[in-house]
Amino acid sequence: MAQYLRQRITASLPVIVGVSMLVFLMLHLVPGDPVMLLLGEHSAVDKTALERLRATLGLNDPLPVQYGRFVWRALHGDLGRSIRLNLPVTELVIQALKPTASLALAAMALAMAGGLLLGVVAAVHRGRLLDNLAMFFGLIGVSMPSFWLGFLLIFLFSVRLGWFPAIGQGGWNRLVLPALALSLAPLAVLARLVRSSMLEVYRQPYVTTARAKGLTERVVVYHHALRNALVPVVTLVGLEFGRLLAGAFVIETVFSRVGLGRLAITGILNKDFPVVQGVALLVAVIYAGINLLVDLSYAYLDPRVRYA
Amino acid sequence: MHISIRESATRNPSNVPAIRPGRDALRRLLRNTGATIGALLLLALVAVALLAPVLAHRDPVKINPPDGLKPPGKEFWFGTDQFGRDVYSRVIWGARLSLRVGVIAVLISVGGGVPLGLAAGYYGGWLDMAIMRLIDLMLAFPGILLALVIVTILGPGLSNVMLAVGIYGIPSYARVVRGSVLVVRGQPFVEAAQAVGCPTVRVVARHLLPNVVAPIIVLSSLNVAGAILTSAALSFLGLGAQPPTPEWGALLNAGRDWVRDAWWLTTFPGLAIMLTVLAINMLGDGLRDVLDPQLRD
Amino acid sequence: MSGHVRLAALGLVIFALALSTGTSVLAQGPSPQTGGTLVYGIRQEPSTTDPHGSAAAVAQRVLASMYDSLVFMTPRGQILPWLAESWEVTPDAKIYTFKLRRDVKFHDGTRFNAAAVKFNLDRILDPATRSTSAISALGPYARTEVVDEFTARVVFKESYAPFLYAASTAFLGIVSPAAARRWGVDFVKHPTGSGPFKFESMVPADNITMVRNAEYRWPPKGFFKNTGPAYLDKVIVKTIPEASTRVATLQNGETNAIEPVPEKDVASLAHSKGYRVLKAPYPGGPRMVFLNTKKFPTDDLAVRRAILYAFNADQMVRTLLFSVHTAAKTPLTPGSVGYDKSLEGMYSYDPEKAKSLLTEAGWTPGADGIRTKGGRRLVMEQHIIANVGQEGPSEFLQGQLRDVGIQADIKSLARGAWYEGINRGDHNLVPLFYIYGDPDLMRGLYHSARIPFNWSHVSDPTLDRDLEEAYRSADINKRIPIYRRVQRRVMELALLLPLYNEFNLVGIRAEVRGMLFDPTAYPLFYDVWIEKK
Repeated sequence: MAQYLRQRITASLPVIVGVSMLVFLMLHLVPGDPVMLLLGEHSAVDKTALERLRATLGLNDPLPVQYGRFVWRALHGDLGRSIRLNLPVTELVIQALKPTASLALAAMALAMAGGLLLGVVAAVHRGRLLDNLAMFFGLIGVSMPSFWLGFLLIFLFSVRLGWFPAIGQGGWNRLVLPALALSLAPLAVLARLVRSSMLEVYRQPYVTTARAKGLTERVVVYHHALRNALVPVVTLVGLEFGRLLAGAFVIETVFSRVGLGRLAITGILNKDFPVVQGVALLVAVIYAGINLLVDLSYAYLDPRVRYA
Repeated sequence: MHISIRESATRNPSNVPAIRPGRDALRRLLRNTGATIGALLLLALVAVALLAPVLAHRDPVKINPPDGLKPPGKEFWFGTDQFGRDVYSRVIWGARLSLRVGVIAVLISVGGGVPLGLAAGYYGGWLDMAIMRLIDLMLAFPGILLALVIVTILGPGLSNVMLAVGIYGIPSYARVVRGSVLVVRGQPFVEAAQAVGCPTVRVVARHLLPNVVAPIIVLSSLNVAGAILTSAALSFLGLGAQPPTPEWGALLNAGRDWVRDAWWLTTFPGLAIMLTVLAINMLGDGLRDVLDPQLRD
Repeated sequence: MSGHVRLAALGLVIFALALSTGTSVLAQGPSPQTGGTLVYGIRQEPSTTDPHGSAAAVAQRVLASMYDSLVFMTPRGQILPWLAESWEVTPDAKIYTFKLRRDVKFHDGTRFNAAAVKFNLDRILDPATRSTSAISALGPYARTEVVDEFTARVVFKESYAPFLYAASTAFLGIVSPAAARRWGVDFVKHPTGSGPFKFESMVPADNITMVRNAEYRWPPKGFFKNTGPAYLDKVIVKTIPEASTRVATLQNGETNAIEPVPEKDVASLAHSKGYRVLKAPYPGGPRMVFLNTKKFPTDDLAVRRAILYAFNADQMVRTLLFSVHTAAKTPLTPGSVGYDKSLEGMYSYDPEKAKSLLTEAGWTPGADGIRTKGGRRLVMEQHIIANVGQEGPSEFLQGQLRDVGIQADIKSLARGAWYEGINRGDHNLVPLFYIYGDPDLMRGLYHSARIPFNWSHVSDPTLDRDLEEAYRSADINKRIPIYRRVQRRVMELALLLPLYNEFNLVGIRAEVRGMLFDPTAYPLFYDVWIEKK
């Protein structure tokens, strides 16, 4: 097992490095000068001041030099300072990580609960009304634009009913509305996957055997079928969770939450290289970690899978 | 779905002959209610898109401020926006644009992802490794950010959105196709066919198609919807379709400050997107049920 | 202080403002109560807590609370003593000698004195401070001399009449030298000034929290009601980018003041029980669209003039902006020094005239309604920044121009791409606005030396000459007639399309009292108090 882990970790390193290089290159392709963007379009511009600032930030150096500098510092734990805010990137990223992770976890928990429920119901009642209803409900979630849903939730539950706060992070009550808004899309995808996965499993010999043994349908479903059906589901959960980490900026904006998505978007739009690279690096690392966890979970879920 | 023990014991997936989508499949499809409804709905949507000049009786672009922000009524069926434009006409014209975004984006994803997956799965070796690493790279990159960066580099507008969303979808197809190729290649009959002198390509292709079509269809159906929604997200940042283009995502974004006070600005484009997604998914589910040999009774 | 320079300083910026609502210093009513927290929701985050490093005007709200300046300018343009008790300016406006207050302490307990002033002004020049706006505000700064512990002499390389105005802005706010030295580049995490509020904590993109400075006893003389520590216990400035969410927080109590209130919500909020909307006009330029004189087809004067005649500003203000702002007709806002009322009638809404101007210039209507001349279509580009609220007026303009046969495509870009584009002059039309207290603003916009920031890329010897002459003069009475000439010429050349004169719109819960505005229409928290029921 330890060897497997080591292998995986070494294998993911090139991916992480690759991501950071890709991000670096792409960011340089984006039009805009981060120093000019610092100013805002209204201020009088002092050309010499600009040039000086650009030089101080090392923005005039050739790209490989700039990238090399970034890598060298990163290895020492220094991700540089945000060009726009002049604050250490490490701090910014860590500050954004906690609310993002809470939101992603909460959303995925809701999505899993709902998706499992809907998917199992649909699979068990395949072809009948309940199946269609369950899938239909799931589809609604996938097709609603998140900001629309977000506004509606705020208006209904925060302004009208006053049950939950509309903005901010910290505390479970601030998680409810944004997590709800975020969970509907993965919920739908999960529901479908659980359904089709379970249908797959149903045809397997061991399910028939279990039935033949006289086990109740419930045990058959939950204990045997579901567990094995979970393998592709877990893969998807991992994928979706990863997506939520840096892709939730719409919800983060609507609910005014601090988050990696907003941090990344603002960074991209302001060509704040250090910030974007910091976020990309963190997300790549977390992703690799999630993939590893997912693969390890296969061993638990499917007895046929073993990592020597 | 119960199968007798005897059947399950003797049934071997690789024994199932390759499907040739034909009349048999079509008939089965029609029997599936979900798929039929989906197909009809989709046909209706396509018809609306094609018949836009006829169905939309007002100019979707000309502004008319005195008529601004009128709620849905006899005169303006879906109400008007801040500039006095008829929301109904705009949504009708938007059908073309949004459907186009979805379809072209998915075509780009399929066009890029399928060959990659085929190459990786079929040739294996270092090509496989290289492609898979590239895929991992793209997947490790938060998707919407990739789309954003592409649009920021290329400039705003619908064409670039299609390109960006298309590129964003490539890794999933590559992975899926590669997986299917690997499954088929691993079957004993491939070796057997090779031993007999049958070109591997033909064997693989014959058995690949049914295995790969289903996942591609499923993926595509969700992705067309996803493309439309991603375009809406890019519009949220103002980088999607440029005004006054009535693409549904752009319409949604234009109404975003008005969700409470002029609900019709977001509701109708939102419903349009939902219907489109629903239709495509129902059809996709039906197709998958029909074409996937393993789900046949 | 010599006679006419004082007059100049006084008259340098005179705003004849009509603050439509908002309490005045002389308001009667209940007396202020101490205590309470102001939670102030804004659209954009203040990018820094360092006044010298900041360029974003939005940071003013925080900076004005934590830092004091040498002088204070009232919305009516009067310069009041603040950290400087009195001052003398040489007739050539090259040397300013300030006599400073002796009782001022920074938040870290250290004393404010002339050495601090010197440190502050020199700090702005230090590359490590990453100053951009502050350096511009300093102008032709040479050095500061410490005459004695509480007398500082600021020397300029050339005549710099606007210095008192500049010194009153938050960009030249005074930081604690001890803290700046101690924290260096991390000063932004430990901002230390002498203002009525002290920094407590900050979460980037979320909030900046400040608490009352219990030692505060040195507000500007004669403007605020209060003369001691602030009434509020705490001020939290929260970033809430989404307009609907911002309004929602005011209604559910998560904030008790927000800025800006979307135009569409102003009427309903103002008429709701328990809420008020405060309005303060932004000085300087109105929201305007610059027309590029060097790019086809806006290089044609007839086309530019047609644009001005084709645009119905009044209708836009009524329908899009719900009459919250006012239609603009000239290069300056009505409250600004040098505003020329006679120019208002120069271009009235007259689409027929626009059409005939175009036809006369050889632009004939095409089959699709868009005019052509010599095989080229009358197509132009509006470059706007994505998602900052410029879409509305741009689409409106697009629609109106279409009616007279002009196709004005909209390119909505991320800020970086937008800025690059307009710097290169890729645009035909670009909407901008400038908040500034002096008509010298126009030199920055219309003088040929300022291209490309002279967004219309105009190079007109008459304009250049007039703008330079006005800049050199320290006498406001000589400058105003020149600026009138400048504005007339700018409008004759149709260098810009004025859109609307904008007000800062602050929505508050009725229990929030005492909010005043500075000359640039930013809110001041010092006198704010919360009325408890």
